[in-house]
Amino acid sequence: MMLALAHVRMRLIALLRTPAYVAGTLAMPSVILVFLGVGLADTTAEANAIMASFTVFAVMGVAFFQFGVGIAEGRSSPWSTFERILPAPVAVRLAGAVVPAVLFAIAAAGLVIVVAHVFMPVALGAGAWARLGLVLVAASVPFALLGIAIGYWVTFRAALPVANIVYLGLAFGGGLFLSPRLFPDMLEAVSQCLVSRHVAELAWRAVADAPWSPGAWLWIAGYTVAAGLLAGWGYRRDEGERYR
Amino acid sequence: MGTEAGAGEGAVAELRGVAKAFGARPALAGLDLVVPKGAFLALLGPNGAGKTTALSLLLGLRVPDRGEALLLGGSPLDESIRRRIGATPQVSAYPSGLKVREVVAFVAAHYPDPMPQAKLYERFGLGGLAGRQVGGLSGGEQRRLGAALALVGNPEVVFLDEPSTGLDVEVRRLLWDTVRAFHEDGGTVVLTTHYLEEAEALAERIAVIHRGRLVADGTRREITSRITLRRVRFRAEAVPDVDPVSRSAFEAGVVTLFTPDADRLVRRLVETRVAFSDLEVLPARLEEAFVSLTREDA
Repeated sequence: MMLALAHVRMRLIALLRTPAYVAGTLAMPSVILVFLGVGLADTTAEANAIMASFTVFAVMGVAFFQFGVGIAEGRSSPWSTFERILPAPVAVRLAGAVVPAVLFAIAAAGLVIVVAHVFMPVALGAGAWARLGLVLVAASVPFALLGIAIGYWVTFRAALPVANIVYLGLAFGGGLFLSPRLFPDMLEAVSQCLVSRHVAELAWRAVADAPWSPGAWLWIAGYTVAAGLLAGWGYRRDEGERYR
Repeated sequence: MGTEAGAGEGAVAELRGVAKAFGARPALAGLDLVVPKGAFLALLGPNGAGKTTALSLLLGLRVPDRGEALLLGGSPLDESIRRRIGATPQVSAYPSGLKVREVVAFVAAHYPDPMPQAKLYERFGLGGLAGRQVGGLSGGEQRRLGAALALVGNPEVVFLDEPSTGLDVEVRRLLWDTVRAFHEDGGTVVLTTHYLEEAEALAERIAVIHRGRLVADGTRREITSRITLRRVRFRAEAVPDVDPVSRSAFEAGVVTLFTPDADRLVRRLVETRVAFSDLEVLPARLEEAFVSLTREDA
């Protein structure tokens, strides 16, 4: 337990002392919300949906950058090799990776919620909050696995730009910035195939107190399995290739 | 030798016929190595000889394709075994943004009975550095921190990777004294290096690895006497017939003879009354010395 704390502490310190990371994951979703989202929210229903979109965006960012870029960075650093020599159970190593990510995700989404309350007429009941929270937790799994897959398949130099492209592409294509009602047909067709669109649909229905469609959950499950396989394959490939 | 030493209880680290290849490139080709309890062993070899791979098998970073790696009688993959060892990280491997104090505390948290930080700083001359960012340390300071991290857990066995290369004399002495003190208290030390000087200064036993095999293993005296290959160079018409010579070369009127005994060779050379000029006796580079060792064993 103490050892897990030591791992979490170490990761958190390292992340917090990286200003670009803190700005990119914590502040960026709220800043974009202020510039893009706030002006579009005339009604409470619209405000709720926009807030939901940006909480998804915030969680997605943490999952992508912390796992994606973090792993690519670890692969290129001999320090991670040294850490593997240290006697720590897998559970401790996992906690060291996951707990800081969860804390960052909560902080980033929390900041979005605060900003949304300040600038928009949002109002959610307890049930809607709970359902939104559930969607965010469930969505973080495929996003984190996609991030891990990027981390293993892409070199450290390329990881940041690639993660950025995928991140912003999924966010825009999923309708997190701009409501898909405004999408042309072709973009709408692409959007329907993105995991971010299905997460967004669930989040919007959660804040609108509308029932979920099981299809969206199936898409998320499918993406989770696919991203998991891709990440596992990348991990094995990396372990086999890396030598000194 | 493998069976009796392997069966003996005293071995704290052991490789039994291990082979490891990366793709088509073999790194180790049937390596046997026994490190008895309380030993001070240097694993010596040129770059690419397989030292690092051998070390990574003993530390549980990799699994051998063939053969077996044993650490304290168990598997190096077992955490309870690794809790009893220590190792240096590679130089300049430190995570940026962290302070010396934070890195030391993180590593110390893995061991049941770590050395108090104050004592550690004093031993390794890290006193004023606790609050410094690891990324900003000089090469020498990083090496001292590396050795400190290897010993912070009060291990039974410590693996040091070129701990003192590039250090100035004073710092090197401090580091060597600390490692020797650890050994005198009963600790086992495995040193990997490609510098003969480092192995010679510290180790009691030297194992030489070349091309993934153990080519020599003996006391420091035995190995260094075999490794003191010299180059005798002079101008002459042709390569004269003298001994002892392990290899000769003739190029542009310059004869180069590799010999284990330069004194005797020069005496013989004079006795042959062959005309020569510009006589020089030079130490052989370590790589050449390794080649000669390999040949003797072949």
